[in-house]
Amino acid sequence: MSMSFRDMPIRRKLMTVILLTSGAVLMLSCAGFCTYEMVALRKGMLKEYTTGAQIIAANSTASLAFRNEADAAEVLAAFKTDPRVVEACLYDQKGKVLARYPAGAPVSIFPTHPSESGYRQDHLEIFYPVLQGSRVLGTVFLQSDLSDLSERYYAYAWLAGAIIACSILLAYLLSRMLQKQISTPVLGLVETAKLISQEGDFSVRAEKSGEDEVGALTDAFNQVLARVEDQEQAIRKLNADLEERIVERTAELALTGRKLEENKNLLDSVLHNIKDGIVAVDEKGRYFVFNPAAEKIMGRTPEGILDNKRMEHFGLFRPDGVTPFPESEGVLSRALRGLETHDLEMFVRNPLHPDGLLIITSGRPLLDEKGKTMGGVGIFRDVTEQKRQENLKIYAKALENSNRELQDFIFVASHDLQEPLRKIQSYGNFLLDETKGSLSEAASVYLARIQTAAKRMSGLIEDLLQLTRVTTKAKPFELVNVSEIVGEVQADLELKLRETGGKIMIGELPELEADPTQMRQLFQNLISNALKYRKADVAPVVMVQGKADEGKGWCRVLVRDNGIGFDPKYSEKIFNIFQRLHANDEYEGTGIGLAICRKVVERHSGTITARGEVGKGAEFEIVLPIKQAK
Amino acid sequence: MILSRRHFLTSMILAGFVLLGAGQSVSEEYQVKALFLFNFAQFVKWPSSDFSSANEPFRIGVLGENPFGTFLSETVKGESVEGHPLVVQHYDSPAAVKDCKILFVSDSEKEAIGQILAALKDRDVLTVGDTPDFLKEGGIIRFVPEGNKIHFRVGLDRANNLKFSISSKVLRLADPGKD
Repeated sequence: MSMSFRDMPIRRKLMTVILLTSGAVLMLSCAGFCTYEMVALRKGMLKEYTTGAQIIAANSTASLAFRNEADAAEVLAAFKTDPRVVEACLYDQKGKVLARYPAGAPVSIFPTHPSESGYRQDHLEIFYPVLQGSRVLGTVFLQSDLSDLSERYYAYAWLAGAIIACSILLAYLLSRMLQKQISTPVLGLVETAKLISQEGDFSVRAEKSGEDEVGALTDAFNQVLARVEDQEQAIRKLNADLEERIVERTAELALTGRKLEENKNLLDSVLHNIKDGIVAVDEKGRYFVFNPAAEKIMGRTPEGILDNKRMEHFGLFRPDGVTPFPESEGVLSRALRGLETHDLEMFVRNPLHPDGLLIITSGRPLLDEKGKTMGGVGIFRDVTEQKRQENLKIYAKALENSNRELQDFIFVASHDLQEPLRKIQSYGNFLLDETKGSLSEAASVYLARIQTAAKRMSGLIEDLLQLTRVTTKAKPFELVNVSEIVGEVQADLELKLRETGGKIMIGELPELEADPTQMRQLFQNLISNALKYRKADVAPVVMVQGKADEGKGWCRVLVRDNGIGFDPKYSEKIFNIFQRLHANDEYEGTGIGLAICRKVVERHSGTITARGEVGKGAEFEIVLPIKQAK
Repeated sequence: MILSRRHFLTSMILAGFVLLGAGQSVSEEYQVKALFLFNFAQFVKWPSSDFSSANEPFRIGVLGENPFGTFLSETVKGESVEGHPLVVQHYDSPAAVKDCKILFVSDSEKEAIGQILAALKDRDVLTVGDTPDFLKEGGIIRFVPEGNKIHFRVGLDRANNLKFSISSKVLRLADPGKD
């Protein structure tokens, strides 16, 4: 039976107890009875044979006294009636065997001398003295086997076994009937309890079977059930209320939680994406906010920064970029002291920003509901670029002003200079007419020189005026065929071409939006220059060609000549006003032509670049947008 | 039992020696007879009225020549029968026999055995003798030699009429032969 006693059903427990108890009692009593019987039997046997020996002793006195062996043997032959007596003999006074039973038994089987009566291994030995009065004449000896005893042993064992078996069977049947008296009410209780625990129905009641302890237990159980039922109803009601409240509260909490979550996400998102650096510290100066912008500006994370060295570690200086910013005046230090800071300028220099950044910072303390300072928050913005832009705007404004003043001056000057110059020219002409032939040769030369100078000055002024007119007298842009423009220029320069034997080779040219007058001016200047700075012994050839790149919205026009060229180091300078590479007497010119070209191209939002080498001709590349911004 | 030749010879020699010495070793035969006399004292019951006092000696008398030497006296020395100390008394003539319970009539008296026994006829004395016609003459117990053993015969007619009783155990041992 593998089940332990503890876990057995009460029915089996009861029966086991009864059977074990009755079995143990029976066993013990049977064992006691058998033991007693056996002891009594042995005692009885000893006594019985002692008596037998005594009789023989009494009968054999004379035989011994007269040493009559035959008679002694006859006396011993009395043992024939008892088959259990295996052997017997008579010892004389000296312990010698006088007579034996059975008659022919060898002397050697008998004890050599008389000793004590008693049970030996498998037999009983009796020694009994043969007395005549008080005289010991000899000893009777007999030996009995114990077949009788063992027979009795078996009989007892069988009897005991049968009794025990019958009794246990009886006990089993009785206990089977009687255990129900106890187990049935208990099992009833158990069934009820099981039903309750499975169904949870506390309205069930256990049935009472009697007025014994189980009956009392049933009563108590039912009372408990009644109470439990009441309480369960109360609890159910409470639970229902509680559940309702929990549902409400959970909904509220969920809402609040969602709002909090949203707020947090919003805050995180703001902190993460804002360009301004935002940091916050608790009352002990430990950072709990340090957003990515702050990391970018400060060039590091707050980890490992000792609290009392907040400022120095970020490389903070006053706006001059040299004086270290005192830590105690820092925005967070002030905030922790309960002070607000507004738009304080600082300079930051760190490995990420070796050139330094200009920042403006603000800060304020973080207060709890009682108004006590529990930390500080600081916000700072990189204003380096902003500052630079501002400076640039101011500078541009100033530049524009001075430019305008300059243009006004040039316009006014050139315009007003024209008048006296024209007078010099007119009166020079009058003087030449009046003194025709009367003037000395020297005076004629002087006068001619005056005339030449005036003419040159007039050209200068005219060019200056043209330069200023590029901006002041600008016309609106229209669709211009560069090919046509270049054709007109070629016609204008017909005389010059014939003079020099030069040639203009016009290739493919684009159409674009431009100021046609200025376009003409541009190509006139470039082609004139090409013809002007020709090699002395070579007929000038000018190639004009260009192409529009519709995809990029640009067109490119090249003007190339086979003239004297220029040193590449002057490729920028030649566009400057009054910049000349040659003496006036070598190549005539005002030094304004290319300046006008550049100005025209710049007005059209394009670029012009010059490439050349001394003696190998020059090339100008003009890049202009096909369409002008409105 | 099968005896070996040597054993047989030895037995024969020994037997011859015993037979040869029978005449000379009288005392050995009489030692047995002395013991028998002592045993008769044990197994024959005399009425207490036959004793004048509780500690009156129980006398074993020897009439005539003493064949026992001192053996009988030594055998009974210190022994008693029902409180009566055993003593040996020698008598030279039947007339001297007095107050003895057992009387051994020596072989020397065989001529006068008839008269002796007749004289003791009315006396409660257990008479014991060796002579072949001891019982016919009125004796009570006669020693009968048989081989090298001593038996005794009891004259039952006589014994039944006596005051004392001979134990049946002794009677059982008695030689059943008739004289």
